[in-house]
Amino acid sequence: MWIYERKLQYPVKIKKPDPKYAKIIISQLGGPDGETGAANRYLNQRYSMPYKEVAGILTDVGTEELAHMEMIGAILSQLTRDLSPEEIKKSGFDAYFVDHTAGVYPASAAGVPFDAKYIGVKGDVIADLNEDLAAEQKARVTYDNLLRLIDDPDVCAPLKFLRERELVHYQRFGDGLRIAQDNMDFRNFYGYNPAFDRKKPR
Amino acid sequence: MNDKKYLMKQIRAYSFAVYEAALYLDGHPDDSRAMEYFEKWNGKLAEATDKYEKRYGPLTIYGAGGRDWRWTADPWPWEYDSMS
Repeated sequence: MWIYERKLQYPVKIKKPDPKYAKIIISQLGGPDGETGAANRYLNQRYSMPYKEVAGILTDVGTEELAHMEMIGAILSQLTRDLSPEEIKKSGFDAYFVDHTAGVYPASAAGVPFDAKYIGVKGDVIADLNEDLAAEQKARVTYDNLLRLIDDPDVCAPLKFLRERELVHYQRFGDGLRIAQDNMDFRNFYGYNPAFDRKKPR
Repeated sequence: MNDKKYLMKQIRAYSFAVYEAALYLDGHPDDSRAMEYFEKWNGKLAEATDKYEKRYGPLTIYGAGGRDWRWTADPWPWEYDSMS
């Protein structure tokens, strides 16, 4: 189970609302490489991970991703508070507003709702860990792109924090892949899938 | 910075260090230096959390209860008005 901690992992305090930024940052909630996908990817991959250390990495990184969903939610809701109809129209936030008002709905920057097709659970150790490594890099690129488009330091600070977490998670999944390969047949990593082909590894 | 804000800042920093060490220890369970690091900051985190909860209210549901239901009394962490 999980319990809620009444704090953000990194503070979000945005003095100046700006729905233009919300329109693009929303991709890190509900887009193809966003935090909702990340949490669901890792927390669902755990069940077929035969190595307990790696299942631990999936659990703990997946849990941190839930905290990142919350940070993005905080950024989006603070960027869209106290808006007038004129500001909504002028910023181009109207297309989102008409369906969701100022609620936080997981969708991509292009307006596509979150889709489980963004994540992979192959039930294969090598395939899943390589998916995770790629996912962290794709999320890092998305943060890089956002930071190219945004210049409010109140908004950039939490985005920079989240970008750095992608780098750390990439390292940790690298640890996971090393542990998996140490436990597999070193002559042929691809000859069998220890998640399925063997009942009890080790 | 008032006391509440300061304590929260400490809690956030300590729990960051603890969580970072935990992710590393998952993949390096025999690293005694990492374990020492984890223990050091986890101890400080427990102290700061205890202080905060006694003075300013619960950080998890397990710290709620008592005379009033304080769990929902303060702004939530994602709100602009919370001290986060």
